[in-house]
Amino acid sequence: MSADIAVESSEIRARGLGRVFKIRLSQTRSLKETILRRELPRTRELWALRDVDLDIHRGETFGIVGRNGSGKSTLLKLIAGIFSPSTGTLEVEGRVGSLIEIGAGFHPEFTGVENVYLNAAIYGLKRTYVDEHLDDIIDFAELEQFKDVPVRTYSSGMYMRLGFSVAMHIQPDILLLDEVLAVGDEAFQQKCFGRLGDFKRAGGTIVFVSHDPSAVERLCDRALMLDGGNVLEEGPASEVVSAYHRRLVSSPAEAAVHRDGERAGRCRVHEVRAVAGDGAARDRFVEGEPMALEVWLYAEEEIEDASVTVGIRDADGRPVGSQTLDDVRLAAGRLERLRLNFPGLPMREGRFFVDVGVTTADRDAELALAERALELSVFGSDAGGSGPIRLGGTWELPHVDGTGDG
Amino acid sequence: MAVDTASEGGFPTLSWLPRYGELLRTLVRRELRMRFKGSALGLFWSLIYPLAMIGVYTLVFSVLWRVTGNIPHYPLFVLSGLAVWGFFQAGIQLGTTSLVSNGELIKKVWFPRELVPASAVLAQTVTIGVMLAILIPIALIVEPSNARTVPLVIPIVAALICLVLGLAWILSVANVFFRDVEHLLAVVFLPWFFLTPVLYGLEQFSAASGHRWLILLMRYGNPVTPYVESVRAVVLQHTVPGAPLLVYVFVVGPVVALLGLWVMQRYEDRLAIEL
Repeated sequence: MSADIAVESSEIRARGLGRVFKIRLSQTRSLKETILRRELPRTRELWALRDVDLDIHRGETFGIVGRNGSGKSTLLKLIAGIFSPSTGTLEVEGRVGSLIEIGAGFHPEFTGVENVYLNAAIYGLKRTYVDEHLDDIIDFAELEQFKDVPVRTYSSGMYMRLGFSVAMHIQPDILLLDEVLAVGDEAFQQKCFGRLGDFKRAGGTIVFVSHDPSAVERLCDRALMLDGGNVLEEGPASEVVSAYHRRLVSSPAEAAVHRDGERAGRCRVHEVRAVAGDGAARDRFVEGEPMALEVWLYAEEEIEDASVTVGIRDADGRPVGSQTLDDVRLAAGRLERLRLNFPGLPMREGRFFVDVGVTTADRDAELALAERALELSVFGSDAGGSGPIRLGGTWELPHVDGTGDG
Repeated sequence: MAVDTASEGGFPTLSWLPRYGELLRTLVRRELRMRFKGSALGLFWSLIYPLAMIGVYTLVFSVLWRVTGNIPHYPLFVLSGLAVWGFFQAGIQLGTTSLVSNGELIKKVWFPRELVPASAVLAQTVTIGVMLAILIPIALIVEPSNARTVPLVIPIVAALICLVLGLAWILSVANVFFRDVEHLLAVVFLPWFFLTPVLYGLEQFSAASGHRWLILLMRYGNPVTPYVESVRAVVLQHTVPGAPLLVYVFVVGPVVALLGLWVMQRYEDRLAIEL
């Protein structure tokens, strides 16, 4: 298997790397708006990454940890070349295989085989090379029966298997891994880790991003911790991970999340996390999976009866649903955790954003607002059903004795 | 990995072409397959519309209205115009929307973005190719002396492809930033069609001699017109177009293509964020 993994050279080197995004406060823009509204566009600059120095050596497995919005994905996308740096320099030597997002580089209307060709061509490979390796790629992805079906009918697991298989067969020198592996089934994950081990032994470089610190500790030699776009720690993976753990539990004031619309007032939304059934924080879920939203609030002074609203919007900003809890008492100077439990996720496949707002009991004054405090990806399950929500009802079959009537 | 090359230089470059030639071919193939997928008659459908329109125009202008008396072989005259116009319009319209409709691909992986509009445009060359393949043999039968000038159609069409590529690059980027561009185009194309000498020839108007400047404006102010007239001249009228027309054809096309490439490479980096 490791025969077709040939590593020539690879190295990633960044100096003073930064990336700024202009965040537009109103989502859509049309020609009319631009022409008619002459006042300054309502945009804000957001430094997703600032002044990062980084050296990743050939053959190294390098982890990046940090919370949502800390700049992990931006760094990975810069290395993948999806966008270029705003400041500083970045040199990436060698062919980069990326498994950053599920289905990246796939066209939904294309069959599995067509997408293999498309994806390989994006990596700059010749058609003849793919001709030779097509069977291996499909085999590894375990998609023999589905290779001629449009990939839009694939489950997220199938998407991931195909993406992983292509990425491993394009002979990358550097492999970028986001948390996509988490959606595969156990057996395939083992297969992936086996393959990653081969890749590593053959001298390949891996950059691995996760907010599951234990995975980083297990896999990586060295690691980097990002917060608010800045590098906080860099060093041996175990040290960085323990620093990350310390940080997660400590110092609320320092680790504050600064987000759109947040008030510097008496109260703020410190963090919003989604927690899976096993207690681990994640932002990728499968339809119907048990999940809890944890909202960490911090109040400077005591608040007697706040109302806390958690709202979920879809990728286009349309509200999906919200829920309010009244009479919340927040003690002064302490982090308070609220938890909203979902026995089964009600959303269907898609991307979602979680907003958290805190108001006074009469809803007159807004005490804190964190828009898009959390981004969630929900993947389809094989359970079937249609429509905007997952009904999630349970069936009961008719009884023979007829007592169910009435 | 070309992380830092594309958006920095001031000059447009084609340096990506050798490495991504395969991707361009794949995208064009994909574009063609999508278009003809699931239809038994395939390519036939892309011909039936122009052929039906030629029938209607001939019936109205030639048979009933009799305003085309001095144009020989009127159906072929219209066909030559429609071949150029059809490619121009379809190439630009599909090219313009291509970046937005392939947003998923662009947001998630890096490759030279100019490939996406280019593949949409290049896939449209099939239509003009087939229409010329019908037109040229007939033109040679009705007027064998056309054979002397017909080979010139190749460089003229190549220059036309450059023009459409350039416009598609510019407009597709504009459409990412302002989604109304595609709607605007849909509105503009119909009047534009009637201002282009597809159904008529510019010399044909009786008022032409009195409004020389108007004719000049219609000929050189409308970028498609020189291409329509040049293709028609070499295929149907066994004449080589005059020097001004030829200079226009072979300068404007490549210049617009370079300009388009420059726009594309200038904004390349912002596409993934805007989409």
